[in-house]
Amino acid sequence: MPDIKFNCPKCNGEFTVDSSLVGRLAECSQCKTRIRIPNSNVSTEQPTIVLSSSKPQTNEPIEPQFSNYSLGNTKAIKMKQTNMAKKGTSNVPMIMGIIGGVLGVPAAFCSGACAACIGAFSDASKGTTNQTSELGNFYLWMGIIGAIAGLIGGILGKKFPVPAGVIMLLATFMSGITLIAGNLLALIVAILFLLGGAFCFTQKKEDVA
Amino acid sequence: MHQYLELGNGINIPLYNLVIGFGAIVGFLILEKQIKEKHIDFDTDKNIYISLIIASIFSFLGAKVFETIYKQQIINLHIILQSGITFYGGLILGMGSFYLINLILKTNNSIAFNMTVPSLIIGHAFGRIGCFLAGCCFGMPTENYFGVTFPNGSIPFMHYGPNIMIHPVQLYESIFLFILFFYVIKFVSFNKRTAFYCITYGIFRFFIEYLRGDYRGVLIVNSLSPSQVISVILTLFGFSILIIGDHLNKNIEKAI
Repeated sequence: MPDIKFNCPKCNGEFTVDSSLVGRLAECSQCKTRIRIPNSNVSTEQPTIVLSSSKPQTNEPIEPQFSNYSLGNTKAIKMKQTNMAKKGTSNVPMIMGIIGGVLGVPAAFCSGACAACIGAFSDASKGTTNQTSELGNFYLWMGIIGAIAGLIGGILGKKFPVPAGVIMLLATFMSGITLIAGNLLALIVAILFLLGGAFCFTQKKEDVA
Repeated sequence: MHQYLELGNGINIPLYNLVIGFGAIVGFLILEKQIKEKHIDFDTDKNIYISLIIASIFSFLGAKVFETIYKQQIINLHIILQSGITFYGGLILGMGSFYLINLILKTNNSIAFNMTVPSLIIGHAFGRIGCFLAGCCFGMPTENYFGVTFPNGSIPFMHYGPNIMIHPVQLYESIFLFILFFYVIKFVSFNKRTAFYCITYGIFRFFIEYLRGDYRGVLIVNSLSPSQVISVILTLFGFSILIIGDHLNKNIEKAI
């Protein structure tokens, strides 16, 4: 059986259902409006709605009434919306990501320098020569990559909430590692990324077509 | 001027970075507002952000590489990492990569550029305040009322010595950019924002370069600084997109 496409008259969400369900009563999964499934594709047009003309016009939203659907009930069908993406609404991940990112770079240099000092002490005690640069480079790059990742995650926090949240948590981990070098600025950076990551997951999300 | 914000326990926050970060936040909030006001669809919105992020990385690399070119140093990773950044280097590589990524993602370049220009201006305005706090990009000595002295240990102090009043060129530029931002937002039509920015900033930067006191480097022409050469090119570029792109803009205006 061919599919039928139509839009919810209230939230304008697009739905695709099997044509065998024509005439059945369905419930929009987003706004919970009950809709009678029309018998033809109305993917671009809204179903005919009649708004109450007896009431004076106000700025309050008016509930649509369906004129071409009889409400003699049959089994309500839950529909799955098609072509919908989730978008975040909070600017907090962006703010946390940017502040964390711009502070993360000097924190990384600081961690690299501190780690190089620790490596130098270790080298002096063991009589070796390679730990100074190795440790310094490791903490420097870990901090820089963490800062860049946190910055990118923060900026994308609204557009791609879940991947951005994962990136920010990864950045928290990377910045957190540089704390071992005793750099407290890295602690602030890690906390900012952690908060940003948490907000990415918990922020209110809205559907976009 | 004041390089660090001291929080105690040895935590010093570099104010240059903090102010630039603040500028970036304001820039992104303005971009969000612009996208809402112009009813840009989610796909274009997403693509602009992706392009911006990739372009920012190229922009940062460009800013570092151009600094080494200006100073006629050998380009290698170690020197690039240690070098400072130049605005024009970042602008050229950033704009170029932004254009190319928009082409790849099939985003309308005119919409993307005109949408992001106000954010670039406001971010740059805050960035110059950061420069003033860090003491970089300083001006020439002056005896006029606006002259400022920088504290012991700052770059201008080490360059000129104690108690020398210098032009706060960073603040001149910052004030200009704030005014330019409000003018672009309020009075310049959407389709002419990029061209207007290129022309006005190019002209302003050409003249403000004469007040700069830090080493300006050499590029192509000895009598002009590299930034002045690029300013001339930027201004001409602005005029060309204003003239050539006029008929294209009419079509885009209908699309928005």
